[in-house]
Amino acid sequence: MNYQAIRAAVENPLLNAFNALVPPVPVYFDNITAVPPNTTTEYVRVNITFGITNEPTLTNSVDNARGALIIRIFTEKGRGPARNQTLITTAVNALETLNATAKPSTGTFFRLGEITGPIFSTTEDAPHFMGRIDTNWVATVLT
Amino acid sequence: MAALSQLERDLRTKLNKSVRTVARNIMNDLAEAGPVWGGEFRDSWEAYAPGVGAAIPGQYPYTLSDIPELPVTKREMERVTKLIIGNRAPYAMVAMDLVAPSDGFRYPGYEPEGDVVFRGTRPEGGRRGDIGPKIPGGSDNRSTAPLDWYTTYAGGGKMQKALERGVKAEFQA
Repeated sequence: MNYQAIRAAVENPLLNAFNALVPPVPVYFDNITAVPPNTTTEYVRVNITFGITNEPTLTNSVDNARGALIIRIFTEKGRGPARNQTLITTAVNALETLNATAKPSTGTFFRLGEITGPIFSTTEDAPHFMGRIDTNWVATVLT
Repeated sequence: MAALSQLERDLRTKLNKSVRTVARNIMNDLAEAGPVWGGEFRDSWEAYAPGVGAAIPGQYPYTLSDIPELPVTKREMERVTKLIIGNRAPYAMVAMDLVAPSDGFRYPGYEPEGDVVFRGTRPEGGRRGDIGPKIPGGSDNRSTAPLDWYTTYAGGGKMQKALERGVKAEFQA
């Protein structure tokens, strides 16, 4: 099982999408502490979790895994949801592009399920307004 | 004809039992995957049957008696939703990492019953499982289940496996 290839298959398109914005929006992945310099700094957190790996399929491949993808967008609090939703759209577009990619002959074949959300939340303590989407994924590492 | 109607009824009974078995499996999985401090959240999972209600609240490990009996009449069997699984704990959404704790929420300060899987500093306004490295002068937080454990269970294939296990157990028996 090539966990890193699976992770890269979803992380790279998201990183590229947010880097392409003007100005770029920083993306923090698993095991990287998000340290925005101040409360007006926007940022994105992407968590990829693995549920089942090595799942036998109808094909010979056992390099088949399933998991969840959770994206949290943090924007300035008290300014309405518009900016947050704009950044969520960036994420969703990147995911939909990934889903529309044809199956390669080698590498990682990655497919996402339906996207839940966005769910918005904030609290008095929280310095940001947060929008959250999540989805499940299936990936096969092709040899 | 009587034999055929009895067969139908037996099949409906078996189907209902498999639905209840699946619910029990999922509740036990959720109890094992989720955070455990004093055990209240782990012991607050329940299954609710529309038109029937909930069974007497049980606790982990859940058994079939914690799942409401389902009617076997044809009319009742046509319900699309058989059982709804939920958690009675008032802070369940926080424990499931679906929302950030509301203002004034206090995490338990005592030693957790479950294993600590992360220890460090939770950012201000962060979610339950959102714990990064310890920041000098920052809070010392612990987590007994990884961030997004619930979403991972529901979407990562394990819930589907619990369903398959429950159906197989009834129909292969």
